[in-house]
Amino acid sequence: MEPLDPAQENHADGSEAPVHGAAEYGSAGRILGAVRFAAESFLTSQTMSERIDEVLAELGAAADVSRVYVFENELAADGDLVTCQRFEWAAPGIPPQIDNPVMQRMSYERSGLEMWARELSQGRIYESRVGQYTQSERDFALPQKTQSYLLVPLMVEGSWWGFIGFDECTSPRRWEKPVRDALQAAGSILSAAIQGWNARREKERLLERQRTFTEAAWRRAAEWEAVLASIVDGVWVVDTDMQVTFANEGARRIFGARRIEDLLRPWSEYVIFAEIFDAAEKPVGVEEMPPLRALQGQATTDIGTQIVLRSTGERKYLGLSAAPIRDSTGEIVGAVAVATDRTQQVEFGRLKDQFIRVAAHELKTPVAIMKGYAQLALRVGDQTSPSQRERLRAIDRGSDRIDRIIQDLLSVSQVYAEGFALHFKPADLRELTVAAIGSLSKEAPDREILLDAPAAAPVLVDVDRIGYVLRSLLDNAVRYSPAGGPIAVTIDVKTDEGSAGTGGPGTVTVSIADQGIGISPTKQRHLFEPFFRAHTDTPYDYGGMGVGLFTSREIVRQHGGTIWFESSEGEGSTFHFRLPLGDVDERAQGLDRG
Amino acid sequence: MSGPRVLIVDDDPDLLALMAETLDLEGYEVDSASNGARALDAVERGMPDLILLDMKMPVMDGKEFTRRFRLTHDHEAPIVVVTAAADARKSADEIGANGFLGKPFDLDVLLATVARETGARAGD
Repeated sequence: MEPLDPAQENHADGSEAPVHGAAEYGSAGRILGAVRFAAESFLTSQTMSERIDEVLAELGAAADVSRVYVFENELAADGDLVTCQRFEWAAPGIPPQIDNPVMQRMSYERSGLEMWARELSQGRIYESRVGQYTQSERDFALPQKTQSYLLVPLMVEGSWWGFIGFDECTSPRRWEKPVRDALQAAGSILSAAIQGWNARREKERLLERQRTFTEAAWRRAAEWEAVLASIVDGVWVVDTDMQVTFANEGARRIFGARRIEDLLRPWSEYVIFAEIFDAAEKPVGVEEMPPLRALQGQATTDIGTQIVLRSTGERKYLGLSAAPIRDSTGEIVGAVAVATDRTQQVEFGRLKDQFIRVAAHELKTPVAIMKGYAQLALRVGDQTSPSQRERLRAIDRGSDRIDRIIQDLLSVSQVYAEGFALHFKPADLRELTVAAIGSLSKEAPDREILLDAPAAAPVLVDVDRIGYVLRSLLDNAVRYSPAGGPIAVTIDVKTDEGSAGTGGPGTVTVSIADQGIGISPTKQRHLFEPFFRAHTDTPYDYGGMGVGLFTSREIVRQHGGTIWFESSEGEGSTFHFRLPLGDVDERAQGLDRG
Repeated sequence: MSGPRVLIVDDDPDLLALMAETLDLEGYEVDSASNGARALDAVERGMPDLILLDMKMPVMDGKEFTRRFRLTHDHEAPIVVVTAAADARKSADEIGANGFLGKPFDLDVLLATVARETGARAGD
């Protein structure tokens, strides 16, 4: 190791430094040979690390330097540009620096080596030697015994990637032009190689990502396929031409097709599997069905549909839903349809209604016998004792109660099945109210019932049904005012003069007010639900089916009226119902609109 | 003395007996039949002033009886349907009956109906 001459630290022009002279040209030739070796090596390498050590050794030997190394730039988290030593070759006897921590994440700025960054980032070579060192360079180079060095920038895709550097530790070597050119060529070859490796890595990463995505997509598709296959509902996908492109096992089952593939046809051809009807059993054209409406952007939910299979004649009740499928731009590219088979539910509902009807029908005759004989015995038994007569009346009343339960069951069944068949005829609501009060007085003779009504209230109603409403409301008023306060019945007629053709000649409202126990606010909103009994499990539970108000509301509704109430606990309840007044024209139109 | 003749047609013997006894006590002359076919025979024995007709019966139901009765006797006797159907009025309308009684009924209503129909007949 030559001692450093302090005099040479004068930065005049550097001409004091030893010159290798003509030998430099021979050296450049050897370097170019090494560059060729590098090019060949890199061409056959998949990554930089594969053959870089050989290449650096070849270059080091050819350039006759102490060390050759490669640094790669990185941007630190704080935005500082740092550089890290990646590879190094050191001549025999020269201490390597690859394990020197200074060489890792070395900040250009903090190390005072901004001039490296300034020159190299512009694509220019940077060189210096012991006589020209700045203080920072001395601090950096001298501990490594570096007397002269030359850095060649590595530019990858137009950006400064890092540098390849050459150290001379044996003399403050000056780098002659042929050598510099040759070393620059080495840098260019390495730059090009890095660019190639990066591109390859990028491509592999893309391929890998693509494979991951494809796998995920396949897995997702398989999951969906399994889900769609295992759900009971029928699922279809149609394209914009209404061609079915997907159908699941549920769909096959619903249409009784032999294979799922048979379902992959235009939706319009589904008539070959079944006749299709709407909920009201009217034939439905395919163009009215949910999938086509979905293609027009209209989602539908649970449209009642019936099909009759051509193969077996089997009738099925379906709930059909459909929604549009949109691409990323929001354009409709197809539709998905889902059919839920509700046949069992519908059939069970029918069975239930049928059961209620048959049971009710079969109960009526024995009740008629009980009731009739009790009444007959009362009629003929002049010598029957008073207690005996009371027993007979009890049988009569019990029969009436059974009859009311039967009526209630039938009413609920009718409301759910098809509504009531109403038999309209002109009547006087005052007369009907008086009759209902009369029949109530038979059961509760002590109860005071006050009627405030005009002379007549003409209506067009089903007399039996409105009678039921009046009796239900009066019954409730009596039952739930056990203290026996008076019940006030008001009939209020409102005629709208000069509004002919806008809803009839007016309305009549019947109000029935008791001073009873009232209904708690939490129960009020359930009052019109079937089988709801507001006073269940209270001391005021007087039995009954809990359908009186439910049925009454249906009856009033079908008369074009409304029913409502006010109630406060401990003070009593008032129930009202309002009907249109019957007009003369309607009476003339005939008696039966049911 | 012999009142208006009433033919009661019902397959339930207890209910038949109840109606017969009730009407008999009120002075009606009562004939009875347990189904439509027997009722046709009864009509041949003597035309009643009123027929109380159950609808659902074995052998021949009320509807078929009415059809055949009207073929040969037109509207010679009024018919009141006595039925356990959910909608008694509809049953009556279907066969063009003169009236209806839903089971169960009050005896007062039975007697009032019979009186009305036989009275109207007497007034023809």
